[in-house]
Amino acid sequence: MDLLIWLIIIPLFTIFSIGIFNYINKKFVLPVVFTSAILQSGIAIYYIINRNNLLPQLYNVGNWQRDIAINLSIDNFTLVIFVLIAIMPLLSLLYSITEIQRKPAKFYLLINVLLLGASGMVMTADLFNFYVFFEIASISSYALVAFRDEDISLEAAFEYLIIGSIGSVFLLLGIVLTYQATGTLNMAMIPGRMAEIPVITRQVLMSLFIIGLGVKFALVPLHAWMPDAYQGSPISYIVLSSGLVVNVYFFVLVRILFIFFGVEFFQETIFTNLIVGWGVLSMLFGHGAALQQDNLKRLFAYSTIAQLGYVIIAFGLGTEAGIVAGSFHLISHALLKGAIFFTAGNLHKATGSYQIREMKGMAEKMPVMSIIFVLMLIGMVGIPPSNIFVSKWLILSAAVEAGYLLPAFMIVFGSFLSLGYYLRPVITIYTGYTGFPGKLPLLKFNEYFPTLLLAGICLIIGLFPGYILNIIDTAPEFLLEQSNFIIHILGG
Amino acid sequence: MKNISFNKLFSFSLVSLLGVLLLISFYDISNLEVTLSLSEHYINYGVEETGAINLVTAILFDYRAFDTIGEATVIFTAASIVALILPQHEASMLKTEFTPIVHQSIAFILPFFWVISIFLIAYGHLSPGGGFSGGVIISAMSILIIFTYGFHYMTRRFNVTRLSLIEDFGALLFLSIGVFGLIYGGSFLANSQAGVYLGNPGELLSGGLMPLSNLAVGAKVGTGLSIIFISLTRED
Amino acid sequence: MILLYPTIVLLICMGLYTVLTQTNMIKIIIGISIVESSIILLLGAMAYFPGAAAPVLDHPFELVADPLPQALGLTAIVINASTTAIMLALVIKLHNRYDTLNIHEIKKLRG
Repeated sequence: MDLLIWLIIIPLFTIFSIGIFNYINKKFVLPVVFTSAILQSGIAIYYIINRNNLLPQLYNVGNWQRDIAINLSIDNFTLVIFVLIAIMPLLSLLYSITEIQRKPAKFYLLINVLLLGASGMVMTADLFNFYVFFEIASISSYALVAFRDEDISLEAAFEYLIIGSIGSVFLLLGIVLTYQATGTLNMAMIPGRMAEIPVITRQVLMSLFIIGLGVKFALVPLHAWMPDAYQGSPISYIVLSSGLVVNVYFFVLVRILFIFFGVEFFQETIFTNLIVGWGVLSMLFGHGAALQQDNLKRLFAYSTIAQLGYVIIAFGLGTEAGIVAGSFHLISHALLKGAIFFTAGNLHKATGSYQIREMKGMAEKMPVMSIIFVLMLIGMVGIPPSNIFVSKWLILSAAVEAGYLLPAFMIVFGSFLSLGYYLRPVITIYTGYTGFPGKLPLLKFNEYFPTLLLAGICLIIGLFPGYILNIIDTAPEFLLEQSNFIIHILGG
Repeated sequence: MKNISFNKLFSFSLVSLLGVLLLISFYDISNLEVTLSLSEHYINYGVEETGAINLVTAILFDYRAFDTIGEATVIFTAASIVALILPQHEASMLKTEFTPIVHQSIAFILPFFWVISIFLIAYGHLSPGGGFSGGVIISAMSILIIFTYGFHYMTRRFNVTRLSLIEDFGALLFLSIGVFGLIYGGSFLANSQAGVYLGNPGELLSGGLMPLSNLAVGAKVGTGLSIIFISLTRED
Repeated sequence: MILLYPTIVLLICMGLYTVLTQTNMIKIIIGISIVESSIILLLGAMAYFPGAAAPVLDHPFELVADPLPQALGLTAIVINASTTAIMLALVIKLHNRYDTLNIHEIKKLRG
């Protein structure tokens, strides 16, 4: 069954019809949004469960031949993001019911636009079509950052908009030049013709793609927007951004680099060392900057930057073990960071602030949430039963196996560094009791359920990593061997 | 002061480096022997396969209609974002007073605007134009009306809510054309490949569902851009 | 033709330099628009061959301009216009709040 096109049609229908439903009766909005979110998750889960007999799958939009149509494709590497599409949007929407009181219809519209962009970017096998979905996702991100209508969110949105527009300009330039140099936009036809381009030009094209997409997943010199944007935006958006969309941008960059330029191109030049070094740098920078933050949201934004550094190291190794380890870390970081942001939002209900010093004595007011928070922060460092431990262990062994001993050492060092800033909120929460708890805030079902579910999933993955490893262990086939991808798209 | 000039120098060197690299790649790329396989297919078989003699429209609404629906989503989202960020009481525009000559001549011109926008939309697959250009002219009309007769004159007839509803229905029409292709042609947004009657190329009713898609996009773009403009202006 | 590509590179560089050095929000937006427009100019330039006709095939032609970059350009124009509209809306909102267009002053107010 070609269910994958419904991952595009369902959000499109929701986007276009939500205004009409809102006009008729505001009560219709929530059921429509949740039906669409459940259907999207269901499709993703369907593909994950039936991966052995369905994948790889190709869909020619408009029924044209494969070489001229815009193709949508799902292969085993796509499943990395499908795991997140199955889990994150639904929980984020559930959490947003109480968080978003002002203009909820607009919020759900924008979230659906974001999901449409994410699914489109992951599945498309056409370069310009990718740009369209990239802009769809970007444009809704800008608005979601500005959604709370506070001074700080508007400024952050403007900053993000400027940096993001520069990024998309570079991406568009890269796509246009690629078209001019190869005469095609089909991602499977580009690699063969890419080999004829002189090396310097190929490197310029590669830098354009890296800058354009790197802006979006906060690659280190281009990361400035992320802490500001997270500080001012609603938790439901942050969870979706750091738990899904940022990973999608990274995923697409990886696919473009591996498929267009080929892993041999990196290994012949010094690029492998450069990328691994870049990953180490962004990891150390992220950890270092997080040490100085007073605001929980900013702290976790920098920690996201650092964690993506680990993923960059893993993918930069260019080996099969590295790709599996990187994909695993991508998934487990997204899930755990989502849970942490939900918990931070829940703790915020008691304090009314995200400043760490205002969290004194939280353990009194919200004992259960505080314990979960502490456990998750320790898990984020990489202490055994957590899923981050498994993924860091995989990255470490992949790096040692590939002979990168210094980066491997840096991974361990970075984790100790991160212990420093995760301990600070923990200590604040468990000290400075006021004695009198005051009025205790009551958490609603839709606020604690997503937190507990995500934390539970993380724990299960940490104890039984096989569930996820089974899904992603065939992912490298479609990255390392360009021919697999090309045959999949263009046929034999 | 020293800091500022350092910033300028740094930016200048960064930008110049980029410029040199781009020049090198432009030079390299213009020396390549490229086979434009996609475009050759469009030029050689485009008219025969899609029934539209304007190849740009054939690409926009048939070969790459999937891009177009994404692009329509971008305008749709932008219109609702601008309306979200700027509720009616936020923005402001100076009130303009024109002589009766302007009022009369704009009233005289407006019907012609209607004619040309409908022509562009209806003949989108036959001559340069299409839903996007026609929609832009529709929105230009609302800009003219707001400037000459004032903001309230416009919003009494078409306020943002009503325009959004028209936009929603235009977008849904385009989406349902796509789903029609899915049901009858086996693939989302299939038009000529769905076996729709294509007509003779060059006639008004040709190109399968293309005129209908043009109409949907025209309605959507016209209302979407009008919403953006109305949201950005207000009369004090 | 020989000057076309250097001109496009020059425009891109000018736009980026504007974005990097100006402090006025409107001027930054103008800079971004210049870069975006120059890429659309590049798309138009790519489609053109000397002596080519417009890709409206109402009678047979020897040489036809490449229709694909033109379609891509149309899409890019629409997307850029949408982004610019959102930028301007944010500028109006920020100007209402802070009464200034200088980004440094806005940052200063926040502290």
